[in-house]
Amino acid sequence: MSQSTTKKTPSRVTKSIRLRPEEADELAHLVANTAYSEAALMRQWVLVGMERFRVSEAIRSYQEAEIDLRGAAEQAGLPVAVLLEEMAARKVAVLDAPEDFGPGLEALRQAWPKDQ
Amino acid sequence: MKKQTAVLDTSFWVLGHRADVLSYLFRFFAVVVPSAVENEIQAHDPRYPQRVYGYQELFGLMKRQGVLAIRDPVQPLDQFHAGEAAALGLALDENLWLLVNEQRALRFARQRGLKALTVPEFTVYLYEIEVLSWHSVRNKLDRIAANTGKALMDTARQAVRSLAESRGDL
Repeated sequence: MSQSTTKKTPSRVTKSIRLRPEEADELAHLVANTAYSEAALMRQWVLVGMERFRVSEAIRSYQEAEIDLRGAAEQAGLPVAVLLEEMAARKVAVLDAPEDFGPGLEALRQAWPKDQ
Repeated sequence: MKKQTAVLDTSFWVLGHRADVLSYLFRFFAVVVPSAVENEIQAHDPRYPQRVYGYQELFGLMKRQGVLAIRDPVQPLDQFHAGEAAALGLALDENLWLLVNEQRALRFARQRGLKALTVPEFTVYLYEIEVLSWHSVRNKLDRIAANTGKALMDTARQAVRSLAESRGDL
């Protein structure tokens, strides 16, 4: 009969942070009279913050031309179309060189002249 | 008016929806969409799995009405990610128009001699042929200003203003 040697990985890992006394007081005040524990709320805030940070960093990398639009979407963990919506909300341009405006307009004029 | 065939990239659909010009596309183009672009447009936001964005709803509606045909390239381009690789590949395979609103793919397409069209260009053209009013074109350009660089927006707005002055629309 074979013996199982599989190790159990812990479902949670403990991370600790240091708060100033006034920050700790504010946290306690926020949690007081709620159904949540400090630990559960802090975990939730960290996860939300990580998600926002991931998106911000992906957009920053795109703006600095380190990655392209799809690369930024991958880094952000979002579909490219959703990232475009995020970029619009943050006023990030995906098209910005003035010389990129014109050739398409000219091609339209040639294909469908105004009086046609 | 004879329609020409154009390949859709995700960037044009999302920004075109924001500008509210997509319904006009079908006067000019028979629009074909690679599967990879459809997947990008219809992919759910993992943060809000129940959310359906307006551009997604419109895409589904247009596809069900049969005005968006799914067509894939023989070979997507290696150096691009899935959606734009497929859109560029198909446009190059069949020498079709490319509807795109992202700098890198746009430049690549134009360097290869493709007719590539952006949302600001299409919007200005609609005013030029008098489909849009002066008020409407300004409103539509304002809607995409957040995703478009100031210098390009200034160029587009100046083109509209010159035309408006010559027509007495101001």
